[in-house]
Amino acid sequence: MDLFKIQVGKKLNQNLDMKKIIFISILSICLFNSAIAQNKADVDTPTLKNSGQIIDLENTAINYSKSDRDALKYGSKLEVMDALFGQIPGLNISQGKGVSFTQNPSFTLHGFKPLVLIDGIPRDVNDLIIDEVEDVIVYKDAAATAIYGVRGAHGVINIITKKGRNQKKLEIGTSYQYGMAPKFRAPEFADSYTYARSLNTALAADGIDQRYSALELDAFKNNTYPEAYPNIDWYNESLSDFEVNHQFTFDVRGGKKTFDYYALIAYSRNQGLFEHHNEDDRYDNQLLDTRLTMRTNIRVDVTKTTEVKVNLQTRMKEFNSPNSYDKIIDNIYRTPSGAFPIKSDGIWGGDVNFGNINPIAALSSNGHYKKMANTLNLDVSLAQDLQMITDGLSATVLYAIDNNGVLNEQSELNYQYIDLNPTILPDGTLVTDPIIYGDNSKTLSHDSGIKKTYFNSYVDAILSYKKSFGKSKVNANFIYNMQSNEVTGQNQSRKRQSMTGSLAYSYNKKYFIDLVASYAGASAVQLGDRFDTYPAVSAGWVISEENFFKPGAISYLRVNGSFGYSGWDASTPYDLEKLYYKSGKKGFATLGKKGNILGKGGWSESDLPTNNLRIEKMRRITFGADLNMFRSRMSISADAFYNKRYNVLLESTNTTSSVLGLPVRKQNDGIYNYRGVDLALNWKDNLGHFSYEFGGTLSFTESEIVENNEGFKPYDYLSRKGNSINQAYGLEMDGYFANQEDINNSPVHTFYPVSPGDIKYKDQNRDNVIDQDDIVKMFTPTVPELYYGFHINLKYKNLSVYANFQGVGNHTVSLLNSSLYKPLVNNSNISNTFLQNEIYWTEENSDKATMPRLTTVQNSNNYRNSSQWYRNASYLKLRDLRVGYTFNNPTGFLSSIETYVSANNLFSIDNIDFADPENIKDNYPSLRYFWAGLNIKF
Amino acid sequence: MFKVTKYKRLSLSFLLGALLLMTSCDYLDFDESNRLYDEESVFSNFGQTSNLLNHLYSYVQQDFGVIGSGAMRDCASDDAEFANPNNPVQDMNNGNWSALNVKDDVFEKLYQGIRAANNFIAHFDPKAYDGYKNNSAYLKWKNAFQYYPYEARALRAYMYFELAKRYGNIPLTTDVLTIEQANSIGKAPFNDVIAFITKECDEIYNHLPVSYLDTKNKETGRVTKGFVMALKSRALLYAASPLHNKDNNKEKWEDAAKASLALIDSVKSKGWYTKESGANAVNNFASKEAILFKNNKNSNKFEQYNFPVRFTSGATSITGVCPTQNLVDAFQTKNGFDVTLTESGWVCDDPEFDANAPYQNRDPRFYQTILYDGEDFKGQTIETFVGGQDYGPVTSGGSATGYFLKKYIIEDTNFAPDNKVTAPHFYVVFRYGEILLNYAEAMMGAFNDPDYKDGTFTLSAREAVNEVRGAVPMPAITEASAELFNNLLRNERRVELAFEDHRFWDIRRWDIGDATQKDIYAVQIVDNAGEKTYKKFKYETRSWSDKMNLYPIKQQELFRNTNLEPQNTGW
Repeated sequence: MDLFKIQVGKKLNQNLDMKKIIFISILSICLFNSAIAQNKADVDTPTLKNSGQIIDLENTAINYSKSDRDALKYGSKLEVMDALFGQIPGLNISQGKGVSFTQNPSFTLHGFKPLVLIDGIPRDVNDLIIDEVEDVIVYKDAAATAIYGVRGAHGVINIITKKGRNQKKLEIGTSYQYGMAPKFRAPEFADSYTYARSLNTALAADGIDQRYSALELDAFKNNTYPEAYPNIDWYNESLSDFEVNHQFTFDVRGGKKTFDYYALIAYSRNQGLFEHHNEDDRYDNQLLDTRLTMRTNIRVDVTKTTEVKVNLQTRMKEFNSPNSYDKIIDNIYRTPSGAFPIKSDGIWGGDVNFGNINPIAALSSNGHYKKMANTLNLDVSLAQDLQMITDGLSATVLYAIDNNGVLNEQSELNYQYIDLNPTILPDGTLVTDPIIYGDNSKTLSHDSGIKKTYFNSYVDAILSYKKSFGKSKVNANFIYNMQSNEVTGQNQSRKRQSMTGSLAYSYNKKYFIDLVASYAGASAVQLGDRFDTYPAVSAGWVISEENFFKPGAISYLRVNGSFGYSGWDASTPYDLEKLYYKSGKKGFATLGKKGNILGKGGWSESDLPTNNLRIEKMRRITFGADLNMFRSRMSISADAFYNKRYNVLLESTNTTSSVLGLPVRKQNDGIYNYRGVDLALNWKDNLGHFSYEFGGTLSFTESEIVENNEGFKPYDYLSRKGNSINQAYGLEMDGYFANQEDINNSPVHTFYPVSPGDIKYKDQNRDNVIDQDDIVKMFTPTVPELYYGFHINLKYKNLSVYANFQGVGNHTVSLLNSSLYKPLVNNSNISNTFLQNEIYWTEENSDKATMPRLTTVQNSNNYRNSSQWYRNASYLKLRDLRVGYTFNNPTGFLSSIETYVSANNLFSIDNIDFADPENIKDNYPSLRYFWAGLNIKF
Repeated sequence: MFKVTKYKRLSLSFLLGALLLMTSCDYLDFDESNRLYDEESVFSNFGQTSNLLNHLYSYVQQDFGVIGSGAMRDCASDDAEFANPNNPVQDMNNGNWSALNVKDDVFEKLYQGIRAANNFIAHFDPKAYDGYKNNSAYLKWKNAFQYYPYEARALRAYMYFELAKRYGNIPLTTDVLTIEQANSIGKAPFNDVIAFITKECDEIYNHLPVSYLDTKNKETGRVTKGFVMALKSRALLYAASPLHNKDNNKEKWEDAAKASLALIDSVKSKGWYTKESGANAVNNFASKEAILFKNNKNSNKFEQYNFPVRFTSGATSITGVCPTQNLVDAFQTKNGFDVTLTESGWVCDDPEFDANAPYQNRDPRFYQTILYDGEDFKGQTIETFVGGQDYGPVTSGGSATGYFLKKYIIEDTNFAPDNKVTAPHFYVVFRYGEILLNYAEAMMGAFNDPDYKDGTFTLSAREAVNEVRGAVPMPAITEASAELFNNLLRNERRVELAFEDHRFWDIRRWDIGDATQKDIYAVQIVDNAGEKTYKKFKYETRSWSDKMNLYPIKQQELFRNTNLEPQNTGW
């Protein structure tokens, strides 16, 4: 903590220095102003339009995709990305998992998590709620990513929040939405009789004594002793039927010519699935996620030539749950129905063999946990039209500070549990030998503290020149940027600094060319070359504007291409460049004075520092075409990209000779290629009052390992070069062992001693041994290569219907991620989901078996990646369905009321029937959402 | 109104820009590292510097089961068989040893030691501690670090010898390498490596003490003058041996003899060491014969692997090292007669020899090396006869050959949870007895006459070997024929230095692998009501190929640095 204080102190001083500079610059600009203001007549300043924005979307060669405003409007969930499944080709979004507080959808842009900007400033997309968002702009173009220097390599998304506008009427709106979310494809666990019988089978197959006698099995079957031989459905006992959601917003938008604003306040409350939450009157363990967001975006023309913008957002999130909420789901999955009762004699049930895992006890008597995350995002910019120097010149200074703090408060309670130790005597009487474990102090112990904070600052000083010369338009920018991201903890903070020049030239709205060069550095590299140049060029040609182009079906045709470089510094850890020595190495032993042995410690060099550390870089080449056809009712766009990612840090032991005499740290040797195609097609038309739109996107991304420092591989098929980065690998299954003779005649399986019913594998290299050298590539990658979506948007007078489908293909997942497929292993549970979908091997059904024999031991022969466990995880889901009806001018003071019902995650067509294909692990359940809401505009 | 010219405006804007840039040139500086000791601080802190040297000592090789899970290197020679059929050492005997399946892989480890030594020698500077001149411990430090660079050089020479004896031609460097250099360095021929070792030994031996007990810093276990001379003796002997001396250059033998004689003379004139009885130096920190020990802390792991299973109270179920009948046949009776076991019993010319009690009255070193049927051990008797308590398949505790290991075993070790006894083990790296045998062998190689001596070579081969025999005590060797004397000399070496990591290397440098390593024999003892009958039987036929005289370089290493090719012949 001391280190942190010193660092903060030092950085604060730097920030103060920066602030001084900002003030000086603002002051001097104001000086200019006051002097010149009287000289100039009343002029509009088109130069300041979109001040601070480097890319002028209407006059640029840069290829970008913009989200559909209706999709954002119709999004029912809070997160922006939840509304955009399959809407923007290349932006692959996948559902969030877990409890509401952490359930953020994950997304990648051509295989990487991109840089997310909010109003041009790097921020966290989870800070926003969908109601604040105007547009989401996705850049895959080389020139756009080069502008962002050391942060651009993985793609850039710019989310523009709603701003005020010059309009006659003030727009005031409020909305309320109520949702219920039941579980989607929940597992079903076996009743205690089935569990007990299966456990006996598994133990027999392992050569261990049976656990339950025939009398005990009968007790389970007939429920004769409900406390000693219980039958508890823990899953449904712990989890209620549906989550309840409330969402409320209120926003105001308006403005005049010289002043406009947008303000929003939004509140949401999510109530989770945990039951048994208020059994202790000192705290309420209900799973709650409460959020309050407030935003104000203001733009003011301070003078005719000066514009000031202030965007302020604060967000407060509070999470309320039982203590150790992340273990409760594990406990629910692991606890068999026949293990112990919920309570016996008022004391929580338990069994010393399972440990302290009674899920209901964990829900209600383990204490309470609360987490509060508060974020403040503020950006202030001042733009000055410098026409007094030359026409079209302007300068903007932008300063953003973002602060986030997460605090937690915890109260912990211990509870007792009683192990009944029941047995049934031969004559049928029950004998229990109860032992109570744990302490019953009922005292809450409290703990609280700051979990994490970050403080980001971002400064942009932009000199911009926008001018039209006849048919040519020029938009040149010079940007100086400094940004720092300070996070609690050692080596967590990062700083970047850059100077970027961009020149966008367009002629007659026909030819576009953008040139970008960024000279950028990152604090990730301390001793090597910190700064690198990232050049890029992007060009576009609107063929349909050419004289030779005969307009027919195609009303607009544009082609564009780009080539450029960008960097990514976040994957470069600190402390790679220094040589240092470490203790704890072997020394030698000498004789002490008393004849005893004294050990003498040893020191040596730790490992060889990274040679010439650089940050990761990406070389991007893109081509694309856009067309509008049939009187612009149909639009098609296609993009292809070929990217080379290099300077990736990799382990290098396999390519460094041992003669060096030291282990080596990671070197910048990794090279990977990515290529793919994005397609989007849209058809929009209207017939009188009926308007309809169909749209679809498809994105195919492929990756290839060019260099991965794998070193020497004794067999060619073991080499991973040329394979996809996320390729699935495993052993190839060759049936199950039928009997001991079969085992004796097969290659030696070295992973674990095998018995009949275990998986038999193919010996790839014919060395008569099954080991690491028999692992081959199989199926498709574990990250989908194909991602597609289509949506329908229908409007008829006041009725609107909207549906959004999305799917993936070429995707493999391993069933080993789910504990349902490792039943009874290490004292765990067995499910009906498993028993009904699969047939486990027994001697009788060996020809029908789909799974290896049951076992209670962590059998590393069976439970390892192989063709037994990989499944095709392609799916097609109905992500959104919404039907709404708007009443216009229903009364005097209301201008419209829209009522709607909508649903999310309604159904999925896939191969993984027992669980949501995006959520196979033992997680908080996937949900379907049903909403009813009201949008009122004043 | 205040008139601002265009130029003034422009210049002011540039000034602004310059201001912004200048004040944040070090904006990206970042250092939150925590307690990282760099080179400068380590080499100016005495404690850390001496720990760097301590680390070099960890590369001294010992063999308490170095091939894996208790298997000594001698189990890949005709001296012993390791009982566990699944142990990695079996691959060395059954033909599965290859460049893709390497054993005793010290290539990486020893080069780490060599780099540490090169780095130490390059950076060690006694003047760095000048700042501590007024520290009370300074004199003690000064006394210790006068030897430091020479200790490092001695250990480095030793490490190169260990590499060369295994791999033959190896990369040789005294520089601290970069990655590019390491990936492109070529191999130096074996003889160049030996020449380097010899040169180093000559340059440093005068700078090391005879014994640390004479210095202020009484740390035993450090390298001494004697160590350096012994290393030179062994290295030159290996260089003169048939494997590396194909044209039988007599000069190499003479150099080897001279090196050994130098140490023998110092011993005789200054009394540095005393030849004790047989293998008395083993596990004996008070021994006056040992030149260097590798000391180990208290442990019972070695006994756990090698005790007859019934003495390990369930800690293991398979015995470890089992000496072969081939080795037992090397031990004479205490009167100096050979004893051999055949398919129909013992054969011996000694009139005192009793075929029913064949293990009585043997060379005293026999009792130091082998645990035999009928011996008293931990209050009980060893029973490897058919049906005895120590008889049975190897997987349930029987001996593969009828014998168990005695050398280096500490009998008092105990495993019972309430009475656990562990003991420190002292591994002999060099001892005086070896030097005498080295000398005798070198003399025979140079002059082929057991009794030859002259002004330079003041001791004859026979005198040297009989000094070893006399200390046991065993009667002197009187054989006149040079060829037969040579055989007896080799046998003496086998018997004196059994299980001290010599046999495995000796059969290789003498190039006798094909003749001796294939047939492994054991004894079958049948007890007929008190009368025991003994029979020799073949336990296994091992596969031997002459390529096994050198280790293969791991295939991965050849891939990483193609200049390490060609691979050792035959692999």
